Amino acid sequence: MDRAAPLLEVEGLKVEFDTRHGVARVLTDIGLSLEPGETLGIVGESGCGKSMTALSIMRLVPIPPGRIGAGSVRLKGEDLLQASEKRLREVRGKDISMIFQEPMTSLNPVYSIGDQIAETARLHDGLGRRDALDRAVEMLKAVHIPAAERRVREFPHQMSGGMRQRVMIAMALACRPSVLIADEPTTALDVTVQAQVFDLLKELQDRTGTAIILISHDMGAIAEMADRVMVMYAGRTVEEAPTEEILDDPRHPYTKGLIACVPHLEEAPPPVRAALTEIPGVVPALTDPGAGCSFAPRCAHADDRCRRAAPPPRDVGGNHRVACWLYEGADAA
Amino acid sequence: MTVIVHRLLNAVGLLLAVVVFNFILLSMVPGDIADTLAGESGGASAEVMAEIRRTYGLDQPFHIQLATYVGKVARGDLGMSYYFNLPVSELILGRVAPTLLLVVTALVLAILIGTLFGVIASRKPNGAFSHFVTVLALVGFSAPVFWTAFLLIVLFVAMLEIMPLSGLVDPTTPRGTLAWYLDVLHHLFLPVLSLSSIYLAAYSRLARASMMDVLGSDFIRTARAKGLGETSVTCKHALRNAVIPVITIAGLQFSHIFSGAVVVETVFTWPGLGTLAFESILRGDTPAIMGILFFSAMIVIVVNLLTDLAYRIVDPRIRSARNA
Ligand SMILES: Nc1ncnc2c1ncn2[C@@H]1O[C@H](COP(=O)(O)OP(=O)(O)OP(=O)(O)O)[C@@H](O)[C@H]1O
Ligand SMILES: [Mg+2]
Repeated sequence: MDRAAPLLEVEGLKVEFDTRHGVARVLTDIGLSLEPGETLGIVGESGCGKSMTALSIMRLVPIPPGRIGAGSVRLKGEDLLQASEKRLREVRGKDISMIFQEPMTSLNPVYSIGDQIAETARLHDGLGRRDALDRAVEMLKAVHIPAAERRVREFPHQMSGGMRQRVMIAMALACRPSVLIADEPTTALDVTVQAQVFDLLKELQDRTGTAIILISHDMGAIAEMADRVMVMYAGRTVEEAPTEEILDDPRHPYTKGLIACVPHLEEAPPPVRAALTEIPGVVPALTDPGAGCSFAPRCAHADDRCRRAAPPPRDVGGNHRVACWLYEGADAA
Repeated sequence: MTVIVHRLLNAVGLLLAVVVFNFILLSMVPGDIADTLAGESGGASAEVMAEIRRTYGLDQPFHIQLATYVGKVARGDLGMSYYFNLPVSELILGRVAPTLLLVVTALVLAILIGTLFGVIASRKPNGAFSHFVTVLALVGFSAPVFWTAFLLIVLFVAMLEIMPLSGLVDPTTPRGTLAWYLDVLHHLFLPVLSLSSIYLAAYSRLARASMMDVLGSDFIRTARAKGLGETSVTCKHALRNAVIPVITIAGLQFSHIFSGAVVVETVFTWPGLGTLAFESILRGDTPAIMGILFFSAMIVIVVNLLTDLAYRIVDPRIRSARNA
């Protein structure tokens, strides 16, 4: 496994939050890696730490009350967690961009969308006013917004949610980043618009070779978009594998539950958000996770050992890693 | 366009209501010009009193008096001052400039400095400066204007002896020279400081709250994710959104600051509308009082229209909603 360093590599990431009820261990030992042009899907139910993982990569975790306790985030070998604030500002929006779940509120209401896209181009590519605005028009065309020359002067409130998310994508891609983090980019949108946005992301990725981290509740979308999938539960990675592998042969009981909740993956993907809660039981509090596997209280296979100690992730062959005691004997040497 | 016409019609209706209301209110005050003049000359016969009432049209039935007054106001005639025996409009115009100088300077300073304080405080919500702003707001809010004014007089006039006590300008300074303008500024200092101190407190607190609110928005996170520095995030992305409530309150408070000006002008004998109003009340000069009330109402309405305009410049959402 001694290839060239990946484009983005996260190792041993630990994030904690000071709360009224004590220290919340929001992320524990998160690791991931991303190759150029690849799409990594991150799934898991609400509150499991998907957005926090994304924010940690950009080092945008609110500090305080948050704290990045350990780990590294290496972009082309450079550890961003050790970088200066100034260097980080060069990376944000230039090498790594992010789009958010809430297209309605993620754009500044008092500036035109053209100004907001142009701002990134001026900041990172040193373009002048005119050139930056031309870039904005060009980006709006790239995300298929009709009448781009006119709409570039419009304000966010004049656009629908789907349009705004297109604008966010245009803004994120304006400086051709090598990594795009899309945090539930379609959750707030209509089903038909969701499909359009995913198609757009795919098309732009084919054209620019941007690597994407796609965070989603929507197993159907992940199945269609992602090359590899990472499943998170209560701030930990419980399983990671190539998409086909995980769909055909999920190992972790939680992943099995997730996939069983999506009845017909090949047909139109149903909204998974409701389905996810159909796995019975509740997630343990992050402030008091206990010593055992955090999924144990909800797991049909849980025994004494599961309640005593958290299982370490192990390789089960075929680039497939699972953190579950069930596969203890399955170590691929 | 229709919106503007609509708003202007509204304004005219409002002014009419103000005129009628003032007239009714002041006609309920016991005593009229005849009593006032009689009182000054130490008593007068019934015939003389009747004669005076006839001259001023006070013998007419109430609704005729009201109609006459409204008609005159519509033509820009605010009547004659009992005391000065001069047209009220002339009287007012002679006093507008000092009042506007005082009020506008105080308001602009309060808004600018208050917003600046609020922005600095919002950067570190638990820092010392932020607590200072909270205390300042509390003190400014609870201290009456006249009290602040007297404290400032004690400090700057009595103890430090670096500020003049009262008036607009030293009468010996030749008018229109540079020295004259500087002297006006010198005299302006304490009244402006007294008047703006209360509003400064209010605006600092408002701007702080508004900034903190905006800094938690999703679009601020977007701005940071773009790679912008904290200065751009604060001054460009947050501030422009945060000033919207400040403008709203500034517009609403303009009428407040007028009443504050009456007190401050009286304390510092500043020759503006406030002192004129105060003295006219003491003199029972009803036309002057009504004229001043009408005039202040008009200014407040004009300022509200201007506030609306300022909104449109700052907030595109209002611009398009009202252009429709
Ligand atoms: N400011 C904070 N203080 C304390 N805990 C926080 C704070 N912000 C987030 N958390 C905790 O961090 C955990 C992870 O949150 P995160 O937003 O990453 O979840 P998520 O997986 O993105 O969920 P969703 O699907 O709802 O977006 C949550 O359990 C949340 O309670
Ligand atoms: Mg999230």
